[in-house]
Amino acid sequence: MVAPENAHVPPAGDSIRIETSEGLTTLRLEGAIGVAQARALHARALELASQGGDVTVRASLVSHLDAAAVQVLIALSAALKSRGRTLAIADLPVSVSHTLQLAGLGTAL
Amino acid sequence: MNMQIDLKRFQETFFEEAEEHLGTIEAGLLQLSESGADAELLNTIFRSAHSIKGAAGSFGFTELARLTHVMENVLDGLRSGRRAASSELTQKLLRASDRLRDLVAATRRGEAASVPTDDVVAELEAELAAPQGAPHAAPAAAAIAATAPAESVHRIEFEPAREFFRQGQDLFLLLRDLAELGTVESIECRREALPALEQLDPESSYLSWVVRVRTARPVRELRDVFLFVEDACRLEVTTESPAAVASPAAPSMPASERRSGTQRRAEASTIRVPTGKVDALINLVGELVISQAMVNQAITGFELTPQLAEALAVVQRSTRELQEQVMAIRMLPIGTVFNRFPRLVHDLGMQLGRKVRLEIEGAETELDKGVIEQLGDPLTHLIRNSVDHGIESAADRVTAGKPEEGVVTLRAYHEGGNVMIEVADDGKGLDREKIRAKAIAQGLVREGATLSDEEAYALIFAPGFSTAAVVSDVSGRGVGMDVVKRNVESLNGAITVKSETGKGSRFRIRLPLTLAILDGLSVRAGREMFILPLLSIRQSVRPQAEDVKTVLGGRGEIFVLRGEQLPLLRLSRLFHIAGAVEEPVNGIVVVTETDGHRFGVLVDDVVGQQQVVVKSIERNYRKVESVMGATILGDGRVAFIVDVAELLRVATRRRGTDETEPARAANAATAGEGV
Repeated sequence: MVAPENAHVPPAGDSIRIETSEGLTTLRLEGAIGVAQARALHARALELASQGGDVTVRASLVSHLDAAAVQVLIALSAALKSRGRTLAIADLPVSVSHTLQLAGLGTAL
Repeated sequence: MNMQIDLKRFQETFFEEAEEHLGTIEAGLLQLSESGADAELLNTIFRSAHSIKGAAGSFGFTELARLTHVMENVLDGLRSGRRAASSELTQKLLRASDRLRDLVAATRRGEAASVPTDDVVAELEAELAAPQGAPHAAPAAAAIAATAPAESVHRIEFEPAREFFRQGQDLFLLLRDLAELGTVESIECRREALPALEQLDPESSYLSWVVRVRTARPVRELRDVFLFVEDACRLEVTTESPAAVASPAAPSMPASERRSGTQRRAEASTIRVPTGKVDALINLVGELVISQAMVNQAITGFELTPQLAEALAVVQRSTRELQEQVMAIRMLPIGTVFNRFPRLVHDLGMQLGRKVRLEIEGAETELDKGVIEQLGDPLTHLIRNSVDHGIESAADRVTAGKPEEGVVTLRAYHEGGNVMIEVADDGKGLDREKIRAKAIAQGLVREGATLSDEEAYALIFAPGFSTAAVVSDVSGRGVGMDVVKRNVESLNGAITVKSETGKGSRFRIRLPLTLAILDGLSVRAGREMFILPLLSIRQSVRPQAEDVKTVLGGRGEIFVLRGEQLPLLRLSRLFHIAGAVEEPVNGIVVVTETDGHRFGVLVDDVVGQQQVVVKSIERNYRKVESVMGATILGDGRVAFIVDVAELLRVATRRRGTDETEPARAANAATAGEGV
């Protein structure tokens, strides 16, 4: 299902933000990123896809990442790849990494 | 369209479902303690604990998930035969289930931290850590315990539905639970359905999984992982390699047995709807009924064409049917409140050291949800009383020639448009003389007064009345029965008691089917209209001059109906209405009865009988004395609906007489009322 044009995008607050510094684009994630944050994450992902350059996701402060968030990141990774760019995940906490491995997504991101 | 996920709404659903699961857990544990381990029973309890755990984890209710996790582990030990069911263990699980109930309620209020769980978790963890003796022959797995379990590889295909996330589910938790059941040989996340970023709806689920798990657990347990989400996914479990040693007690589910979510969805015959939506619908239909009455009034006197007359009749009939159907939506089986009592009786029996059994009849009897919600407290009190004061000790029962085990019966049935609920026991019955002596000591009855059985027993509903010699933890604090009576009356109901020495007591509650509509008699006093509940009305009479007599020096009036003297109340005086009929012969006396008290209500005129939609005044304004609500009449005017029981109490109180005197005393007292 495609999100309607006027779908409400909840404010991302500080938990999902884009930082650009010296030509490096970083998507910084904090706290629990789940289905309640998925729409905000998707909005940031669309912004990133429309910009230039590679993207690094900084996730050291992520406490929980659920499937809704992961599939947005997978889609972002694919979108960047199709444009010849890359998505890298850095500092993923061990617990989150373990959960992704259990879900067969250890190498998806 | 706002696609934002309203987690609050899902949480509310979770809490409602958790309540249901808690009921199942508790009822199951009680049955376990009474009739011993049973495979299906243990599975039922396990599944409920598992469902709470799964959803609690999804919502981040970590304490709830932690407590249910440890309960689930203990239950799993029981159903797999690794652990023996004992009354001690059942008590521990019941304590945990109590705490879980508290925790669910506190979490709902956002105060999860106020309920400590460490002690019950530690108790169950100690149970898990304790070395178990020889494998127990639990019914589900006796044979497994006797032979080494054989492992099989199961292929699980799990495809969440698009709307999966909207149910507040975290599917990673499910995969983790699955992994805990055995060794994951492979897991593949399929992404073919995932659209391009621009087309992606972030709140829809697109991924699916194929997991191969090697385990000795039966397929049923693998499926149980997905129990809570079975309606929101497609699930296929196939066994790839058959078990090396066939286990007679745990046959693998044949590969052909596949049950998809789509099939399961087709089986669902109910939907869950918030009460608010149903109430809004009822309110709207209520408005429609009022509008219908207005139309009828407006066309009075017009000559209608046959087509129009017929069309109006059809609209009227359809409106009535619509109202009945909508009201039926709010009806719930009374079992939803009865189900809590087996636990209560079990606990009270243990606490008091009495052998007592609860028998429930008519749990399927339907009653308005609003009425059911308010029945819990009065019924709890009546049952407590029956066990504490009614049922004798085992020794006393044997001496009296009765079976050791006492029986408390909770019964519901329909009778003449009402629902009757009875709480009966086969105990020693009410002690008439003790009640009388206590009533005299408390000044409720004059020394030497003669009381019929009915009048004597009615005294137990007086405030502060208790004959219990010792105030126990269970009952006998001298509060309660008056509150029970008030609670029942606030539901437009009535309570009576019958008792036979040595044979037991029976409390009978009469309740209307619903609080939202009421069959009433519309009456006029001055220019005001009132509705008297039809249930309380015995007859209407135009009095002759000699039928009305002034008593007590002009302060009160009585109405003589075929030789019977009834107190007479004037509605116009009670509600301070000017311009009403002064001479009784110009008005009508409506003979009314409440709790066995008969009295006459003088009104100017009786307009007619009608079904009215009850609107709360209290909710919209404030409590008005002697009024239970209001309604809008066909001509648009508002009419008060009279609370007959309160009307009599108010009249009695104004005279300064204790309202709790038995019928005759109250009637006599009210006869002196100058209203």
